[in-house]
Amino acid sequence: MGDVVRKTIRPFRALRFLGRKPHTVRIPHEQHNDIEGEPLPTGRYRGIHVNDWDLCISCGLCAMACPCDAIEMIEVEGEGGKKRPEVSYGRCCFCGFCEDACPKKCMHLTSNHTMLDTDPRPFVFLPTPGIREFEKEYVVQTSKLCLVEERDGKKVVVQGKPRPRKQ
Amino acid sequence: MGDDFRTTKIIFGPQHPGIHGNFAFRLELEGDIVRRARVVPGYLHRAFEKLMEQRTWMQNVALVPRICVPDPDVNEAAYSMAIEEIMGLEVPRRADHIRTVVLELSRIASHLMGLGGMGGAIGLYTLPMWTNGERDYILDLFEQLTGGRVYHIYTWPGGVRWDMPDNWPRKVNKVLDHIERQLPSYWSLFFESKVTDARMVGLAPYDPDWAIAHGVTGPNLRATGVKYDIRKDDPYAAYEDLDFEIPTRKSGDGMARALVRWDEVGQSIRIIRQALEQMPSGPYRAKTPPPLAFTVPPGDALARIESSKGEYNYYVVSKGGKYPHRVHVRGPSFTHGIDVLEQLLRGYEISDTALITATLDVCPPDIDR
Repeated sequence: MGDVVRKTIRPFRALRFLGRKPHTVRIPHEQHNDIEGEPLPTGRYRGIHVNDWDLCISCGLCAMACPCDAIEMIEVEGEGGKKRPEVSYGRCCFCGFCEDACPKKCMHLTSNHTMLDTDPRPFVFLPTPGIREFEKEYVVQTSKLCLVEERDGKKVVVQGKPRPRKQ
Repeated sequence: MGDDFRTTKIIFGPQHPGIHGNFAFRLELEGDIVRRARVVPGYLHRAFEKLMEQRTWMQNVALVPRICVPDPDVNEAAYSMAIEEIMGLEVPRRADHIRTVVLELSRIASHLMGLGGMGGAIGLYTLPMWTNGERDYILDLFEQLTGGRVYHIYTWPGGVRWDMPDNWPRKVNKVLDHIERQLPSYWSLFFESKVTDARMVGLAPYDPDWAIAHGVTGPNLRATGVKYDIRKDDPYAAYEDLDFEIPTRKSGDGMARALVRWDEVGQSIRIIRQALEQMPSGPYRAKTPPPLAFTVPPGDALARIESSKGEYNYYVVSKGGKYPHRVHVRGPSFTHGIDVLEQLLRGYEISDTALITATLDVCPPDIDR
C-alpha cells in the first residue's frame, strides 16, 4: 500500500522545479552572475587587448611571447617611427602571455570578448586605450577600432583614433 | 551492402548526434547487430607533438590544454611536472594545493559532462541539461581564478600563474555545497531509472586481465575491481597529504563504469574541501627564468597524472636551449577509443554504439592529437 502511495506521489515532485529560475542566461539582455550573484566576467578575464601608447616603448616583447604569431609590430604614420603592436583575432588564443611579457604593463587583456562585424578587416587592429570605452557594453563596436592600411609603402591609420586619449 | 548481401555498411558520425566528438565509426551491420566496427579518427589531427618542438617551453603551455577539451588541466600539469623534474625545481606547497583544487574541479566538470553524455545516449535528455548546468558553475569558478572558461593556461612550470582571489575558496565551497545538494536528484533520475538498468547493466563487460592487456586505465579499469590510481600509487601535487578513497566496482560493465565516475565526484568534493582547508601560505610559484629566456638543461623526464579519463603520461626530452627536443603524450583515449572500442562494439546493437562510447568516456581530440 505504502509503495503505491509513494509511486503515485513521486511524479508530482517534478512540480518543485516550476518555481526555479532557468540556468540559461539571455545574453546580452541579462547579466551573467556567479553563484554568489557577483557579475561576470571579472578583471582577470582574458578578452580583447588594450594598449596604452603613452607607456608603450615599442620593445616588441609581446610579439615575441605570442605562441600564435598573432601580434605584429608595425610602424604607424605620425608616431615618430615607433612601432606599435597590431593584433590579429583570427590567430589570437587569448593566453595572455603578451600581458605577462610586457615590461611597462601597458598591454592588457580586457573583459570584453565579443566583436561582431560583417567586414573581416576590423579583426586585425591596433589596440589603443579607446577600447576601454566599450568595457560596459557587451559587443565591441568594430567601427571605432583603430585600423591601419598600407598606402604607398606607408602604414596609415584609416579608421578610429590615431592617438589615444590620455587618461 | 556487403558482398554477401547480408551485411550493411554504414558510417556512424562525425555529425551524428549520438557520437561523442569529432570521430566516426564504419559499422558492418547484420540487421541491427554490429558485426564489425572500425573507428575513423583524424578529424581533429593537429600534430601537437610536432608543434611543440617549434614553440618555446612557455609557449607550449598555451598549446597543451587543447589535447583534451573537457579535462584540459591535466595536460598543463603533466607538462609542467616533467619540466620541473628535468630542471630540479621545487614547487611551493601552496602551488601544489592550488593545482590539486584545479585538477579536481576539472575532474568533477568532466565527470558531470560524461554522466550527462550517458544520459543523452539512453534518451534521458534531462540529465545532460542538469549536469551541464552544474558544470557551468565550475566554469565560472575557473573564469574567476584563471581568466579562461575552458582553456585555463594556468598551471605552468614552477607553480601557477596567479594566486587565488581572496573570496575564491568561499565560492568553491558554495559551488560544492550546491552540487552535493543536487546529486540525490541526479541519482534518482539516472541510476534509479528502469531504462538505465535495462540498457547499462551487463553492457560491454570486460575482466581485469583483458583490461590490463589492452592498456585500459582510469575509471574504466577501476570498474573491474583493480585498485589502481596514480594519485595513490605515485602521488603528485598535494595528494600525498590528503585523505581520500579510490572507488572501485567489480562487474566491469557499463553500469560499473558509470558508478565509479559517480563515486569519484563525491571523492573529488572531499579532496577539494581538504585541500582548501589545509591551504598553506607562501609563494605560489618558484623562481624561474622569465618566459622569454626560459631554458631547460639537457635531460629527459616522464610525468604521470590521473585524469578523469585515465592515465596521462608526458615524456619530455630536452637537449638544452629554448625549445623542447621531443614531447611525447600518452593519452588514455587512444587505447579506449580505438582498440578497446572496436572490440567491445562487436555483437551489440547499433543503438548501443553511442552508449558504449559514452561509458568509456572517450575524448576524440586526445585520440587524434
